[in-house]
Amino acid sequence: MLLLAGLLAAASPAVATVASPGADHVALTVYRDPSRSRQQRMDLRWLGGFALVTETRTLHVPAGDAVLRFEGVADGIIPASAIVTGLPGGVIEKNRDARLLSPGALVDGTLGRDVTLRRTDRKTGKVVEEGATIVAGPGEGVVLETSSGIETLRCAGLPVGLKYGGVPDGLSARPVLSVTTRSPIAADVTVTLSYLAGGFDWSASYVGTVAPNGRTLDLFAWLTLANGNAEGWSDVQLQVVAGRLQRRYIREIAAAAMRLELHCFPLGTTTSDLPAIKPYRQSDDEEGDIVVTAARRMAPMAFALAAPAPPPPPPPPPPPEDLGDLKLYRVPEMIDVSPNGQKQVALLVQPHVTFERVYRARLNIWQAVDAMPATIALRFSNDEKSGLGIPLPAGTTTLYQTRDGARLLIGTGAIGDTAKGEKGRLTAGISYQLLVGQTLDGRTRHVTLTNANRFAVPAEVALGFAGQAAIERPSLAFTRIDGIETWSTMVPANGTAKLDYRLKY
Amino acid sequence: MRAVAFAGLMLTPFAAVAAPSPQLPPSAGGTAQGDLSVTIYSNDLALVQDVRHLDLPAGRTREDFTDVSAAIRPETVGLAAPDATVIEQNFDYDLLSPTSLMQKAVGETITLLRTNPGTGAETRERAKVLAVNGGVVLDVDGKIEVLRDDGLPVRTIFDKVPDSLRARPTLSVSLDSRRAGIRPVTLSYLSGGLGWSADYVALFDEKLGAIDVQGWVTLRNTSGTSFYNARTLLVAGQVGSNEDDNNGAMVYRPRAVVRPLRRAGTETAAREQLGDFYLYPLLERTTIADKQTKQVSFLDVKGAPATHGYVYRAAWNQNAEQPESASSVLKFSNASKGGLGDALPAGTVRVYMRDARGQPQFIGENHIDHTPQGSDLVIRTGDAFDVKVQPTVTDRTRLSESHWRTSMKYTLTNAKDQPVTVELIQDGVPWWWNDTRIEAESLRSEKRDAETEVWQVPVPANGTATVTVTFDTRI
Repeated sequence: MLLLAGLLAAASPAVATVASPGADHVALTVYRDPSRSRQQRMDLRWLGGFALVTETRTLHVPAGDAVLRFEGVADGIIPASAIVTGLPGGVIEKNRDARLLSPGALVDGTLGRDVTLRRTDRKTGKVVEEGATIVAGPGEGVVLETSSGIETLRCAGLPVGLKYGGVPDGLSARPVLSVTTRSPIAADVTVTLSYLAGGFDWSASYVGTVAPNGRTLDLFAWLTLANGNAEGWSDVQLQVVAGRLQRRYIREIAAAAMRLELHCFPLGTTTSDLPAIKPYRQSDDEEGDIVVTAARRMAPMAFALAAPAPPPPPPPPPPPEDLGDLKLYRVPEMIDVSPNGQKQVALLVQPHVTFERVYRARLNIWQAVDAMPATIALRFSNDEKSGLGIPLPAGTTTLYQTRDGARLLIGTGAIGDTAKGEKGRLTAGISYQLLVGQTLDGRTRHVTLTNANRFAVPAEVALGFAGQAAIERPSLAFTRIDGIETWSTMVPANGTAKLDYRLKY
Repeated sequence: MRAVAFAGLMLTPFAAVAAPSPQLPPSAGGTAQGDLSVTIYSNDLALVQDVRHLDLPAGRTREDFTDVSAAIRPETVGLAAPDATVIEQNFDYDLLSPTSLMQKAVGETITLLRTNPGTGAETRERAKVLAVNGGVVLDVDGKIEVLRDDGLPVRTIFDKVPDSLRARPTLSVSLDSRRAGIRPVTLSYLSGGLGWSADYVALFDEKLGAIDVQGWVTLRNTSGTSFYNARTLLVAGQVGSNEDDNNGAMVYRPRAVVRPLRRAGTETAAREQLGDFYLYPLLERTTIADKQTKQVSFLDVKGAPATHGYVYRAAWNQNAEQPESASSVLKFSNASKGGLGDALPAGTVRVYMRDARGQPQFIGENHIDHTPQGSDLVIRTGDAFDVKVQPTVTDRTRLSESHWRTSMKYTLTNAKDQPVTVELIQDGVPWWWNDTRIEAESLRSEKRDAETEVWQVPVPANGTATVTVTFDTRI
């Protein structure tokens, strides 16, 4: 058989390869996981958010055709999103190669070619080397042709190793992003490489401290940022974007490290069935070499999320700017983003936020309830009058109260993306001082609120769901809050409040 | 300038000889592939044509074709050779491994090379393989023994690899040639593992009301084989039909919150067509390496008009206790006048906007289907932080067993410092209410279809707008 392709190859001009080992400057814009609800905390093992990584790199582009290899990009890169600008000859094509160098890939790439077989005498340590050709592998064992004949690798019970002449084509330690360009001139150029990468996430972590007067709270928020990539960056210009983006799932080619599995022909013996003796298989040793590409994702779980705010809190960044319908926060200082790490910087500080404390309960109109505890919520308006009036990105909340100078946790919860002018709610725990009961009497319902506090409390009882249209003849006035029939009342100190209503059908 | 190195310095000298290149077949090892043409369809299917120059003898001959796609569909192979006819085509996947080698050696004689662990002395014996069932049973000089029964090292040496065993699944063709000599032989087959989609980078400038769009074709090779120096043609379309498989059964197609295609275009793009498919040839030959994602530009439009808007879709009887974000959408056309002026192959549109410092930032992405030229597109990029809608069911009255009156209030809020218009959609007034009418509404609606009412609601800057509607529904 004649290989014309080989002849063609000799005629084509050589293509220079230029490696760019890393970025001079990196700007990271981190986006929240769009599918993570506001109650869900970040799972550091599976970060569903992402980042726009914008890297500035300086490299020398030769005249003519060249392949530029960009090394040190985030391993969560979505290759189809890569944009390279600043090349004098433009981009002819962008490639991302995911074939990795592995023991299996060495066998695969050397199939049909010569290797060196090294045999070591266990007793004397004497090493004998001989030439061999790989005739099969790496999926179900390796078969070699040696001067003696056809042999199998590591089935004889003798120490044998393979030495390869070189690394086969197109294999690299990590997936490689490269572009081909055709430059009219040789030049030192500054290129901008930007791409989306998974394995990031961020969240706002709100820490509210209720003032001793019980009427205002000091709100502080951490920007909690997590990077699940094996790549880290120093002196990064960091931005985070609040809001929820539409994302679409694309199937990406995972890093492909070919497996080497050293199987032998059946080696059962006349004593194989005896449980005490496990035939020693050389392949057991080799299993350790198999690269499990998912392993880095299984990095050990790190520390807990919301750290208590140390007094005094660090200065927050300036208020966010509008990015279309999203909010962009800039971290004023350059920061380091470490691989597989989480870090927190200040996001906002809002002292003296006024709030309204309310006890809430929801009743099913068809069900009797004995003594259901009410939830306590701190309701606030996100406006200047209440000491806020800023966009509040979604995040977890922890609420503290001061007792003898020490802060005690009184509630945890979450708030969603809250625009300026909207209402917000912080959960402040569950009260067993205010209990709700409902008894059924035909179509009539009796609701009782009991307050064991030494002070009167405001309570809201939501009845059923919106549009139910089943309630009539309440003994006290109702209001409809957010579409739901709601009884709002003050429950007197150490007292009770009662309501009767009827179902229409 | 940071460190810059050529491949020769970075890699081992051996690898430098075979620096990866888009133009060249690998110089080390080589490939049996000839002049390749690869046509890739959108639905993970490719047609590979491989012209190899083979020296065929006169008469019957069997040719092995190595370096064909590992995801080949062998039943689709076709071979054309001048002055030769195909007798049969075979696809052999009896793979060579230590186990298959031993199994094929049943009845054959092999060599055992025993090493004495104490002295290191080697003894050579011939043995006949009697059976390979869980262990290897051998006949050594009339005595029957099990291979490595004593656990001591034994090298097993086979005389040859049986003809039927292959290192890789192999396509072989038996030919009857009327003459001897070198000639081009065209091998064509279909292969899985090769697919492509488009990726669009849309940079939106809200002040100018314009987008710059770059389109890239992204092809992905997971076939297990690299295709060297191939002429590549991408076909925007799917061959084969899903409808036939359902045998006429109705397929439920859920409706998205915002459907990207608002109006289907009726213009023909200035691209080469094959039947109803648009063709996207790559200008230069390229090497499609295994496990590679490759992108080549096909579209670059600057300053096409685009606007930005809001859509909120409420389900029937939807009540929200907290306001919900409206969808932020980008609207543009791919018409020749006032649009991108090209048909758009299916893919992902990624939308960017410049931040206050001029840096492009990502604001969302969405998928579009194959879109004919002249279409109006509405791309949902995400939720609006500052524009929200709270639908509340304010009243439900049962007028009779099958007659209801439903009052809705939609509260629209805008925390932006400029007025916006929200397309408010009340969706899914369910079809079984075969008489649904609007009894009263505070803003004039447009009935888009039997299940969709639409209001265009202006919301003032830093303000609120309210829409109240009363629906009358009967069965």
